[in-house]
Amino acid sequence: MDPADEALVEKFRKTRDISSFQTLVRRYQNRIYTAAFRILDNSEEAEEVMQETFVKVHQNLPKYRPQAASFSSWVFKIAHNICLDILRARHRRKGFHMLAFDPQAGEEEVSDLPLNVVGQIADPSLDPSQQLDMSEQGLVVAQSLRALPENQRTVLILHDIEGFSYQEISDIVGANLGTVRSRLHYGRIKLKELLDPYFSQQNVSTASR
Amino acid sequence: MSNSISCESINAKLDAFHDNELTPRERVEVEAHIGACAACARYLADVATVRRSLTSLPMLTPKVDVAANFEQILADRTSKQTVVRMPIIWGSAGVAAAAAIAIFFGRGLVNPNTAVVGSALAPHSVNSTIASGEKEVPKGLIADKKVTPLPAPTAEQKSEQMESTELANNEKNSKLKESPNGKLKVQEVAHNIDSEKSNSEKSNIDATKNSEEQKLVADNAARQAPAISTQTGSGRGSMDGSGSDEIASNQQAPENLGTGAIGQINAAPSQNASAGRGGRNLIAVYDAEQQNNEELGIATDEDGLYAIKL
Repeated sequence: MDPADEALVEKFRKTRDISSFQTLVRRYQNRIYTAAFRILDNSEEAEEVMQETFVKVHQNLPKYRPQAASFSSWVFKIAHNICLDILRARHRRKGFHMLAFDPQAGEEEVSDLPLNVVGQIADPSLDPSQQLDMSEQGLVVAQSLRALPENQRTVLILHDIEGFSYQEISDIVGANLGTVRSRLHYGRIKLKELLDPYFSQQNVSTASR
Repeated sequence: MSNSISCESINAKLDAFHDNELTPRERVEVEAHIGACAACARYLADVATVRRSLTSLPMLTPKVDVAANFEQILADRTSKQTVVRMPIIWGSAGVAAAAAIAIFFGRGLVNPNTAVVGSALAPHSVNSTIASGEKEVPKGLIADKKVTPLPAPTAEQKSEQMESTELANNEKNSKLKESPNGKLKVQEVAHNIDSEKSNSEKSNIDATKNSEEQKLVADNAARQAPAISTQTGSGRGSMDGSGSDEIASNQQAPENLGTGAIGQINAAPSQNASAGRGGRNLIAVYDAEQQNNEELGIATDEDGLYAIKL
């Protein structure tokens, strides 16, 4: 049986054995990356969140109190905070455009240059290999999830995908229990509305067979 | 009526019922209700459908295996700790800051052998040309400014300047061309800020080195350029004029850069480059139409980095 997270944390604290820490990272890196990707809708930023999260976990591990929170919710809280930083930075740069130009080029050539570089940097698309891995339904669900407000989306991800309890989500996102319940409720209603056309179509095609 | 009120109160608990987050007493209450209420039972089924669809989403795999490379990542971070790492947004802001400095510089700096220490600038048209330090001082622009002349370049410094002129060929101009909405059209040569030459000694040397052939062209398009005002300026900004990603900078703005003030500006090598020279450049342009409630101006964040709207 694999040692519990807290046991690995304790071992790392005592021995500074990096392999214990690497085991923890291995357990969480895909989860953190996936959750960050679903929240931010950007693979590069999700990778940044993942790396930054584990660097911060490594730095702050001496401060971690197992009595206060499970290791998983502590890690996700760090990751969520980094996601929020990125979202805030996005908000700040909203309205910026990157213009490229060549002083020696003529007017027409200038206008042919890729103008919205920010948009290209923020390309949220998955890798083709990852897209292939997703079923049609998966793509529809992921797309619908993207359409939700960020706070509802985050709570849905943390609960329905990551399996955190209401209390843990409350700790992770820093909102009270009532807010968490409300976001989950309205997020599910909205997601159901978005998925309804797809599921109706599925039902029709199933019935016609 | 009583049934609808009951549904309303129960509905708020249905998600928690599905997620097993109710107390035993509440659970019994909800179970009793959904046994007799088709609408609430249907909602519960919907919750289950949504949850199933979410759990069907695959776990994604990042390109980088952080676990395997963690020691390397830590080592890289440690080595980077001496360098301020700016995220993309502030790299962009740095580019924009340099553009604004260029605009102010272009208006306010008349003699290339001078460094301007001034107070708040009123918004101006960018329709000005500075050539070889011979340009007449625009009225109202430096009337309230303290102009500190720098020493004329010595022969040795001129020699250095020749080198820096060559280097300037590799430096980049910046030119605002046209915003996507077509309303903003500014042509401007931007001055690069050399992020590595951060201390005041180097700044002075640089200003001396680059005291010739400063040419800033602002064309007719500038007539449409909106006013720019500074809000705060204890800034630390950097750019290399070529991009915005992960720009590291130790550059420290002069301490006398206060609200609405322009401090001593380091004349960067790119001043030698005119509009017809240099390579392709990037400049950040703020399209105020995309944010309705923001005022025009330059703002800094807690790190003193610039965000600019034109």
